[in-house]
Amino acid sequence: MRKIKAIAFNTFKEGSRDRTLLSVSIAGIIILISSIVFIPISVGQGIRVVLNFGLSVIEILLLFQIIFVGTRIIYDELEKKTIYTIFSKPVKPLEVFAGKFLGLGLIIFIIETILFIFFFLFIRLIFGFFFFRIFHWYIFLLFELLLIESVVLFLSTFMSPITSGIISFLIYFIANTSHYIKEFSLKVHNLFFKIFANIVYYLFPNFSFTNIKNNIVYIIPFERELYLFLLSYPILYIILMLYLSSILFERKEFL
Amino acid sequence: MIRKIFLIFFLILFIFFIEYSFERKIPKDINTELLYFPKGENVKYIVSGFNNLLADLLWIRGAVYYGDEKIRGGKFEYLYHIYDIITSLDKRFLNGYIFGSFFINYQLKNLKLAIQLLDKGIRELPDEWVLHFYKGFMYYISYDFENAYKSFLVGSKFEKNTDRCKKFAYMSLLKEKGVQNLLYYWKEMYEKSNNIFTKEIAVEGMKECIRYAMKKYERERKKSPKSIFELLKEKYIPFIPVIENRMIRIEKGEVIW
Repeated sequence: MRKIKAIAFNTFKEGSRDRTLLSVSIAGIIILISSIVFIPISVGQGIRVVLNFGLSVIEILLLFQIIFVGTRIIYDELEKKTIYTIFSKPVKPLEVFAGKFLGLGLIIFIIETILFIFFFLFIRLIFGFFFFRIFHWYIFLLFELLLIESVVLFLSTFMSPITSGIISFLIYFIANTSHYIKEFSLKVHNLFFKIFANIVYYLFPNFSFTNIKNNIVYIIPFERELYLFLLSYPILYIILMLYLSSILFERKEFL
Repeated sequence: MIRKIFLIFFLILFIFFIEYSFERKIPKDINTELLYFPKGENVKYIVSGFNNLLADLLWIRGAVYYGDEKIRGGKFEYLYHIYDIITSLDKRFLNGYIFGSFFINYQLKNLKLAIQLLDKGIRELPDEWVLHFYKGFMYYISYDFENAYKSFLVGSKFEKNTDRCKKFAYMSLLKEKGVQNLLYYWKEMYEKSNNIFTKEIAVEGMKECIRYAMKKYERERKKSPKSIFELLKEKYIPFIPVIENRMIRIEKGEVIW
């Protein structure tokens, strides 16, 4: 555990050093403030537009952050050969990946917290009420992003940063649309397509349960059991991804 | 250093000049881009969880399109398409159904499409009595009192509904006599709305009510009313609408504001 903590802290320090933490937070805040321009042109739907825009912008920004930083995290260690210094000590690949995952996760957590607190205060300032419901999305989004982060780390073990970045985007896209494919397969009388749709649906990450943005904006109650889903599905998926990454890493020649 | 700044400044100026001159030379029809927009049901497959964001951006785009077509006297041919996509992306967007149907009925004069959009809303949001109310209202302002009555009656069965549905159902039964009361409704809509397009529709609605009363007066009295005061005096309208300190009046047989 001590080793994981040390690697995580180091990853966090590295991430903070290249100013991504600061620049993404500032960029996010500027974009959130700029959503004011939508209020006069949204023909009476200002609150709705600002809420949807804000929640989506935070998601997109953090997704970019994960993909751009996550795809390079292992690659840079291999390129700069700093990985040898890590493995010269008695650490297992799984510990390295867990450390890297937690380090980057901490960066994401801090940026997300900054942006959500700012957005919360921004809504209060512009519309005059405290919209506490956005914090449900804060928790759901954090789990979604951590899951994607684990996928990015897994892909970066055997792909170049550009390829793993593109594939990660595609996986994120599939995670949000696989339920449509499954829904569509029920209407099509083709056994092959049904099997394919089910494989895609169950194999890839599935965000159809966790995407509660609509419930937040429209103040629709959602099943509180989804919190149980959050504590099981993403965590198991993350463990699987980290474990697979370490297995693939063990097969590398330098170890 | 100063030379470099000048160089950058001139480059920016040059780029701006080229863009500006091309913009003037090649007129763009931004509205044709909507032609290539796929059907709403298909768009949701490609937006990857950002349905609401895209629906909002399209909502704003729809307002721009509406204003643009209005200024250049366009045909509003993509109006239904836009609101169909918005409501497919965000099925709970109540105002998308209501405003969309209003704009379609008002600008395209297409009651069938307006009702189609409201029916889609009723399917997606079966608990919203207000959609039944507006469906009845669309029929009512098109003087289809029978269908209007049916929709108001359905709306009045909902627990949450105010007495509005019942009131309009009764007005539908009165047929022509009830139309007078529409004037109150349009006035209320004008005062309560913060949407400039809705306000415009409300003014047009008030003018249409007066036109309707005028025709009725002509039919029954075999002469034209000299002024709007005559319609009020003879109880063809319940009041004279005054909007922003300007009265709706009749001049040379035309209703103007």
